Amino acid sequence: MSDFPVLSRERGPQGLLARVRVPADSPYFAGHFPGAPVLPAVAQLALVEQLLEEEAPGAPWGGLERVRFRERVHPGDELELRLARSGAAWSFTIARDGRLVAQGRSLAPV
Amino acid sequence: MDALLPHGVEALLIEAVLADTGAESVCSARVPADSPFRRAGGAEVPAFLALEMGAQAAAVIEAHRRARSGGGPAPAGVVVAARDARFHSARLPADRALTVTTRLVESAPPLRTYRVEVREGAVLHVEGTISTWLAEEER
Repeated sequence: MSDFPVLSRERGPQGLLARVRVPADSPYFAGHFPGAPVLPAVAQLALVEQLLEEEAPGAPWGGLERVRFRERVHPGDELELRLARSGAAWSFTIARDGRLVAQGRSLAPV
Repeated sequence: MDALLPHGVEALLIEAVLADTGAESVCSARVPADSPFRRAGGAEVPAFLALEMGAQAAAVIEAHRRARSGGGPAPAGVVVAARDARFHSARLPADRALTVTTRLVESAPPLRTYRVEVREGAVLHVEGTISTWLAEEER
């Protein structure tokens, strides 16, 4: 089961571009924070993991080289995730309405 | 713990504070049985969840700092960056207690940067650096 419903997806030479919805009732919002729900940064990584699992099942993460979480994600948001292979690692961006929400790059396993 | 941290109990990963020097905290963490990071109630969670454990342990440092200075409870903060995070294990055990050591390495409010290590006994699962942002300190 997908935590983040995929509304559309395209594959091209630049990698995967997927539009996803953040359900307003996502359990990731529970307790984070009471009365002011914000999607935890690690839940944004869970979104990346979900798409990565669909794109390259079993692809291991050795770590994260540098990730920035620039904008807060709220219940009901629709996001665009771009995922591209970068050598033995993966790079990603998450955007909302054309504004960068998060970006990062995984580390290859050692 | 829910009185110390701004998180609701559903999101709490820290279950006990073992030590806090003001610049470093050592906490015990465990993933709740109903955590969405546990697939179908599975016994493992992604290694990157260690970064949230570190963030909550960082909030412990902030909560204690405020308590010592007569301030209010720890405000809600968010993780804004992670770097040099190395996952020595691809997944973390969800049913066992992990030890989270978080050390403040830089403070430029509202931004703070911490070095985080998550271990189980002598086994180092994850290490890395996170930065947090406390919204109430925005000017």
